[in-house]
Amino acid sequence: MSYTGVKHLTKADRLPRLFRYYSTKRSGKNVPPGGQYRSPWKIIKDEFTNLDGPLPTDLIPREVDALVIGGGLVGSSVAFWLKHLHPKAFSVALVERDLTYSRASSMLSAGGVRHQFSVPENVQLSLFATEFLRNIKQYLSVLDEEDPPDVKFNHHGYLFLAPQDKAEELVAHVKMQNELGARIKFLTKDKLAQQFPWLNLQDVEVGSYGLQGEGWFDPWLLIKSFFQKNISYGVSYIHGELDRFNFKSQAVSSGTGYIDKNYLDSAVINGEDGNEYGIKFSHVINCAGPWAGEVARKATIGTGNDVDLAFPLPVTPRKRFVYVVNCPNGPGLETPVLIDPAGVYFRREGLGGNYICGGTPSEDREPSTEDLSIDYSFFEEAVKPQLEYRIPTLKNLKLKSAWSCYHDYNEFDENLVIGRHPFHNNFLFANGLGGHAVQHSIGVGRAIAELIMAEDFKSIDLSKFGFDRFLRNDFINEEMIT
Amino acid sequence: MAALVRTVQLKILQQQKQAIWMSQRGMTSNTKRKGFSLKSMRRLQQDYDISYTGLNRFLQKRLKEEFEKSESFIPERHQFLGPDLATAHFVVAREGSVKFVGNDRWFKEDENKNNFLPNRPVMDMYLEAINCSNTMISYRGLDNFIDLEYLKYLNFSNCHHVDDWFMSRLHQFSETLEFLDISGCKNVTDRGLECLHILKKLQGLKLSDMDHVENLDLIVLLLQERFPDCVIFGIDSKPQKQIETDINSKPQIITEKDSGTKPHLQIKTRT
Repeated sequence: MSYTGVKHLTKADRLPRLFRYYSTKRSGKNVPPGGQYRSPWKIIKDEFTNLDGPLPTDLIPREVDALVIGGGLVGSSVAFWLKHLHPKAFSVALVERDLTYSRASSMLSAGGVRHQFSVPENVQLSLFATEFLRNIKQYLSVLDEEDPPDVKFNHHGYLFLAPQDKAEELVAHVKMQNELGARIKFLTKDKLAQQFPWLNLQDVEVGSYGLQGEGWFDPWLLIKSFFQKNISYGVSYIHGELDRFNFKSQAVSSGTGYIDKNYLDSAVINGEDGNEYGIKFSHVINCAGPWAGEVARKATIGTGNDVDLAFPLPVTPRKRFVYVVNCPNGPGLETPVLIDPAGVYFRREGLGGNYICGGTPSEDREPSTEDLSIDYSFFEEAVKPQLEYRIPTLKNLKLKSAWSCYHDYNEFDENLVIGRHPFHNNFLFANGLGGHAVQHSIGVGRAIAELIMAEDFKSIDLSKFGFDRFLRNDFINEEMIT
Repeated sequence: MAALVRTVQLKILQQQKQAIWMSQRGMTSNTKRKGFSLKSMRRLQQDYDISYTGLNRFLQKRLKEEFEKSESFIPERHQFLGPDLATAHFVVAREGSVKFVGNDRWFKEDENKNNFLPNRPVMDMYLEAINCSNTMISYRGLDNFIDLEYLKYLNFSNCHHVDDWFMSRLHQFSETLEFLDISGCKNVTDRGLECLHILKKLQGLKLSDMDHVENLDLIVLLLQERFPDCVIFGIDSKPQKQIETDINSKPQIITEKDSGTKPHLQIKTRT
């Protein structure tokens, strides 16, 4: 097999063969991936550059078993589970271009955990997230539980309201959720009025209230705990950005002869010092969040000349706003996380009369994703009137501040994409989680680790969320998306 | 009774689902994977710490696991004795004490490990009060406290394993509980105290020795707002330094000499 295909030609390749092994002056350093030749002079020079610290190739290894692209919650969780389940089996490297997480969706999300979904696998993922956070000391503590990590979990159930025509579906969903181990209470209209007297139940018939295990937490603390635990397990955190993939071509026989198929071989990463580092991997896992589509395009998914490469990854960034309001007369400690049938959500934040609210804009009102600027008119037109209608005591609410974040929105059916790609067998997806990324990241990380090691999902069966459902046009309808 | 039937049915359902799932994947006994299993490969690859501290750590971990298993829900016990007596046996075996409706006696285990609870189901014995102070009761133990229709008093003071997750499970007692005591539980934070809003009939709440809770005064105010008839006691009435600062008072500057080196200033505001 030859190293041809879609590879970027460096200066060294254009030189005659005799001169290729002598160092040439280049503007940017280019460290080749594992398996390619490096001259002995270069190796000796690298060994003597940094006598006090680690070798440059220890910081950015030339070859890894699993390369995780993206260091948010999903990426950190994948790296953690790969090392936690099989500590000596894998070398894992994680590429993240912004270690301050200034624009990361993981940091900016509202961080809610709920068990109320209509697809059973989503319920199981959330149940596992609750169990993980409850036992976080035994999973993520680094030194014998002397410094236990804490994610500041607020235990408050989610309250889903449904009008008359959706009542039967809600009954079926609650039954399914309770069968899987969640504790969801089904409330009729008079029970709702009794438990939440401050709600306006005019067009609402039934509701479902989560009794235990639901709530919200601080995702930054979880990322930090994952980071510390991953470092202690030996995951290499690479501060850089994925530039391109290198391919190796393999001649495959077709009916009339041989054709060249290009398979993923290594990745080239732009390090923070301006140099390019090649990393040869055995598996690459796409955890880039809203930017997952770009990473997939670099691997020629959607642009390659093969039948299986014709379909691109349909994950695009969508911007969502979160508004902080203050109302002194609002509902107190018993406020659940209220999900209105119109798509507006509302919950308490802190103890000073502050609340967090937001909503899903309709298709024609999608905000642009160029920057993280906030559209206050959406609040005035769509969120505020619905809140004041649903909770009449919020009449004097004042908007205090707001922030926006990107969601990795799966345009196909708004559900998760997980599994191997049909053509690039070493390219794994963990994308499209959307607004549920924070709660499902832990379960998805474990599923990816099981898939890589045991070739099958062992704990939660997520095979119906594979990439091939796009090729078969098989939609998964999740009804309870906020 | 309904909750007991529900848990047993859940267990059976899960076992059936597991069996179907495994047979679909060919994981039945005649199609076993050849060679070493992944579990044994992993065990061979691990570093085993056989130093004194390592063995100690291993022993502690195993003891903890054994304890957790002992706290799990046993359906047969509840089926035979009924919910009230089964819970009573559970509590008393773990150094707690119980009291029944219409009887003033507290049942407790004495030095010879005798408890005077009946070993057979008895009619009309309903639990009214449970005192689990200074025990190791935790989240899993609450699985056993189901279907207690007359329970009014719960005491979990000075329990090390009572934390926020434990507090979130108190919704089981929302219809009947009238008095709760969680003094001295160091792992409960203000987020755990927020979970108390679900107890509809709460009339007394004891919160002494809870100084580690961050916004204790604010939480107590909000709880009082939620339960106007409830008496919340045990909290010291001295003004908290963090919340009240008098803006008009002059700052009092205190200097400390540190064995001849430069004195460093420490500014204190008068409350």
